[in-house]
Amino acid sequence: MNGTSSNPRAVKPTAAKLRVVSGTRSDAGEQLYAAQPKIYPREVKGRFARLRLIAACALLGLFYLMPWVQWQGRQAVLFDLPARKFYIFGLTFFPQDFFLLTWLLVIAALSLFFFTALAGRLWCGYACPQTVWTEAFVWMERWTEGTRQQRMKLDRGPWTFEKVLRKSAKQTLWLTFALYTGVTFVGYFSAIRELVPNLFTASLGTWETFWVLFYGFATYGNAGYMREQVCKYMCPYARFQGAMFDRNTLIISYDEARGEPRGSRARGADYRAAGLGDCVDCTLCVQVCPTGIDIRKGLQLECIACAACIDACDSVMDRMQYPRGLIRYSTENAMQGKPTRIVRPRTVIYAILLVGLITGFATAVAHRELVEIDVLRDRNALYRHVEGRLIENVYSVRFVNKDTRAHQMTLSVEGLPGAVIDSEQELHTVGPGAVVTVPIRIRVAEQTVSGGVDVSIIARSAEENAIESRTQTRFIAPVASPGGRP
Amino acid sequence: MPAATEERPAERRWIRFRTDLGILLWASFLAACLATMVFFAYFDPVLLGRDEAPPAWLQDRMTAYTVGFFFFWAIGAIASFLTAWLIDTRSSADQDAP
Repeated sequence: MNGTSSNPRAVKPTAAKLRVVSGTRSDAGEQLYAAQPKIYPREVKGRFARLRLIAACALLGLFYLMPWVQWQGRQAVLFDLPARKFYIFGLTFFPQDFFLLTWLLVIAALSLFFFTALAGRLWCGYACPQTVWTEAFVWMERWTEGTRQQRMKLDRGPWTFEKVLRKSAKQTLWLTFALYTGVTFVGYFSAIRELVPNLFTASLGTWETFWVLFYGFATYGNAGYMREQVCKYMCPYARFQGAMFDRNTLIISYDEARGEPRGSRARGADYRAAGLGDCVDCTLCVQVCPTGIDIRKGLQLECIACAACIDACDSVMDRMQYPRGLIRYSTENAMQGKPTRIVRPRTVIYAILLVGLITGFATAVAHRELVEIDVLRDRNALYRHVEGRLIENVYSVRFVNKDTRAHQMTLSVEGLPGAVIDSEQELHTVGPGAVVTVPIRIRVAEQTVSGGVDVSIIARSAEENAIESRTQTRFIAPVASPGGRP
Repeated sequence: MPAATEERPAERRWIRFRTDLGILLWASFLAACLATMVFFAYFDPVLLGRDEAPPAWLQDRMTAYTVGFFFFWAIGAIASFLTAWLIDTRSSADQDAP
């Protein structure tokens, strides 16, 4: 099987953008439903392979170690769903802070646009979890089943003892790794230092078990079998990234002018005299490609910019003693001998928006109300007459302390002259990250109020640089009749 | 030649169905993730415990989140399926219209 025939989905260089637009089942679309031949990416060494390795190790390390990091006596990063609190180092977030999460997602999306406009599919090639986990699963495949040639031979061959042994070794590694990935994932939502011991004593909760298996299975399927099919058929980003590309975007490109006409030749032969370009047509660039495309056909929708073909081609160029870079990171402009502009309206606009959003986000986080209050009116009685010709309303006040230390809060009321607050204690202690609900009664003299009045309830912490938080509620009294007390 | 032309139509239909199903489930999965996140940010399942009406087992937050997620996924999958099916089965005259 040579490289060119193994790629039934070759498209024209300009097709990437066209295909993004034409999502319907045209003739070209029919090819989407062709059975995919299994791709055996060939192992590759080189600058970019090293870079990918470093990125993958750093990101996997971050994912697997982060839940074990402690901060002030608790898990540093914990999205405690049962308690509805998110801890990120010194910060505690509550559902009330949901807009911050939305904001963060907008920042993430815009960063993706920015980096795509600058450097193409940098995300896909180096940082996307799909790529990173696929890489880890491919490592395990190589340890157990060997190189590309060995794997192809093994799959073609009969089920010998060695094949069973190698395949089951691979499955054992994959399954263990996938399950532990599931455990780590759940460890972000439920304290991992309890989760892992519970796992070994088989006392995991029902839903924890379920999500460990669910996420583990997703990892196993996506990284073990689906791999780059996910990028081709499932990834929404892959479909719209073309819209962020322009002639100054860094893409992986084959230098057609230099390479063509391609053809094999003896080493040291005067190939120029024979009318040949620099491409020796070894098809290594096709063999290393995880998506199974031929980069020499130009920019394609499937290319995830992993740069494996650059490393492969450079190694051949070195052996042939030709200059490197027949396949290289370049821009459409550079390929045509025009200058590449990094600073251009698109990148400037993205950068300004990004800086603005990040500054806004930091300000919003820094100026969060550290203690919030909510006030709920008691639903059972609108009001009560109490001794001393007073009207009383009952509320429950909920303090939400987002700070990392406890606060002593006092309450006061505004908008109702002469009103007093009566509760069990004067000072309400709210622990760090705690939610405390206390009942209070507001009383006011009968003659000063008639009907409903809007009042503000203010919580103030008893310390220097007091935290102040206020909320509106309604005080309800009987409508005063001209004849006095009804 | 693409491998597809060499396959029997039934096999091809099956491959096509499988791919469509994958896309359908995946799109509704993404929508369900978003829906679960936004919905449960504003709604605390514990509140269900205050009234007598809802099933008691939904009061547990983890249960409610999980059930909610799969509910959103199922609804999304139904919408995806209907969309795909209606687009697929509309008359060819409509498809060719500008």
